Amino acid sequence: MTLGKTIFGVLLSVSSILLIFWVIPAQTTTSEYTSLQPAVYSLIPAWGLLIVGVLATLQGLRSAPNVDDIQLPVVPYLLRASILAMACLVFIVLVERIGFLVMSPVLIALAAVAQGARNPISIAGVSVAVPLTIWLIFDLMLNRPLP
Amino acid sequence: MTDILTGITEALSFGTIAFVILGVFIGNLMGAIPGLNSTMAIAIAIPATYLLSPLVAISFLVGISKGGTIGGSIPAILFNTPGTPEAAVTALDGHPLAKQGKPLKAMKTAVYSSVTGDTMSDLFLILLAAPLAVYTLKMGPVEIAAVVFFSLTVVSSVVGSSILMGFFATFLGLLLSTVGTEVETGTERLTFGSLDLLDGLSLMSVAIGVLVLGEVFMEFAKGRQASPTVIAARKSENPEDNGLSFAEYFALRWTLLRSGLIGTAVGAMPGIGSTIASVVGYSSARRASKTPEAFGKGSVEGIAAAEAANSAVVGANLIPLLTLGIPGNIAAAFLIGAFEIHGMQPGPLMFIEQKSLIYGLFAAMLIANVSNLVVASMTLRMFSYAVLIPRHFVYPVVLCLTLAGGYLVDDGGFAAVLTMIIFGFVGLLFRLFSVPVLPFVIAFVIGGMFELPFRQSIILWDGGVMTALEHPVAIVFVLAGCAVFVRVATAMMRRDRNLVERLAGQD
Repeated sequence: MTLGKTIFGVLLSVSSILLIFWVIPAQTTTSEYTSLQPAVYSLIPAWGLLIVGVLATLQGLRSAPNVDDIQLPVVPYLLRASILAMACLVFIVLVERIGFLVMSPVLIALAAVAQGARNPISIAGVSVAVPLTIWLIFDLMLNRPLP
Repeated sequence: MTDILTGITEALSFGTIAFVILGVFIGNLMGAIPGLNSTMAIAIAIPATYLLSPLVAISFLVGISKGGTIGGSIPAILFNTPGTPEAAVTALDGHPLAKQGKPLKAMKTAVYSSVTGDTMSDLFLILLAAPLAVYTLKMGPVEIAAVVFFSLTVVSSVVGSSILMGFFATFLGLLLSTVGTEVETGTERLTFGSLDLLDGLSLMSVAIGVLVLGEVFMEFAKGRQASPTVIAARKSENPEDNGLSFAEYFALRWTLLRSGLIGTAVGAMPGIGSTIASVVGYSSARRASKTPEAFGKGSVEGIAAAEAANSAVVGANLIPLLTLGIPGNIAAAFLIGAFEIHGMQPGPLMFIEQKSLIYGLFAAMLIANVSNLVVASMTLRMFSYAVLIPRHFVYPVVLCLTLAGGYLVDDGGFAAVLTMIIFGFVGLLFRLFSVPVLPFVIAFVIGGMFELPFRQSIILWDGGVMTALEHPVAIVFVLAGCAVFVRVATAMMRRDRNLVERLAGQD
């Protein structure tokens, strides 16, 4: 049995069942004027996902141990990426209030430090120059204002 | 004829040529920076094309795509880390040749071969696209539905290491394409009451999120990485080692022709892509070579075969896009977004309604090839320094550019950027669990287009099984799709069984 594929298959199967029997019927309306209901086109890929989920579960259960299983350290990877995703969310919330030219240097500087940049002069240079260039191109040259 | 001449004249205008050259330059640069590629460059550049005319905008993006293919060979040759996936095959001979003190010879071989393959493929596109579009316009909904079925089956089966993951990505893309207002009844579908979702999920936000932000998140997830050792692109004392003479180029003609044809054929098939083209081109050249033992040890023939094949995919990929409206690869999917920004829907109707644009684009593609030759030849040494740009600055800058672009695509705003970030995380999960991104994006793009022909086909199909016999072309496409699926599934099952037997043997 390969744990990764089995878990993926079970989760996908359960999600697909929820989609087919609960989410899609609740989020679509029935029309009297059409032979093919609006839900049908969403239900076809949902059934496809269910079949993939069941096959993945079976494949996971029948495979030899560690065959084709997840190779990467998923949890630390997810944690690090989640921090960046959260930073991006904070960025888009604050950028509407404070502005692109103030928030972008902070985001770039934090991201660069997280990626291993240590020279404060180059960090400051890149953090200021890049947003300023983007702002000049979009706001002044293309007349497409940023927040 | 007037439309054709108008298009060519517009392509030869200063503005178009300048933007094509700029596109090629950006593509070369982005391809040369390890970890970046022309697709990311196209995604980032799309918001900048709003104010350009459709021809200039599309030509600029095509220029980036073409430039990126050559740029990707630079890091492959100089430090064995391909800038683009398809350049991995170039590294097999390019890096050993660079280690022999001939990095410039390796890079120039890559440039000349790339431009040759690219031009061949563009000529095929120019000659084939119009007749194919005329035929496509005669196709009914059943045939169109069958072609889409074939494309999705091929993409799901061939791309990625697991057929199950390919189909998972395709079904997910199709499901998400149904979000929004339903085409026939005008009722809401999977919008969860959100007004922002009434028009469906934005193609650009989803595609940029999955492809660009997904890659950025993945790079951050990996954490700090050591810089690889780079071979400097220094001139050799022997002038012969610094370039490719005409005699050497002429000696490669059959290799270039074979690889160009392979790349064109592969590129015309939706979803298969330039990586497979370069592998097939390289292995065919090795089989046909008089010196196969030289391959992998710095063979000029090997570099030429790989580069001509992967570049020939670029032009041919526009064949399914312009004749059927189906993107052949990610870059073509972004081009659909760019066409939509300018109020156009790529497909066969463009050959009637937008003739001057189409022929202008063809002319611009040929101009891009010449620009690629000139720009790449002049800037090879300069771009070779791009490989030294620290990674810890590359991805933060890409992140900032992408988020800024999010405010400009589809009238942007909070919802568009939020969608982008959410799909960036989805892209990260795809990469962590080896789910191929291409089938997802292609299914998402063509899912909406497929709905109407699908509905019409179901109504036409109501006549029973015998009705199918009235659509032989559709039957051929459905059977071909099934054949590809069965062939790939059988090969994968055999591979898995061999692996299990090998592991059992070890126990």
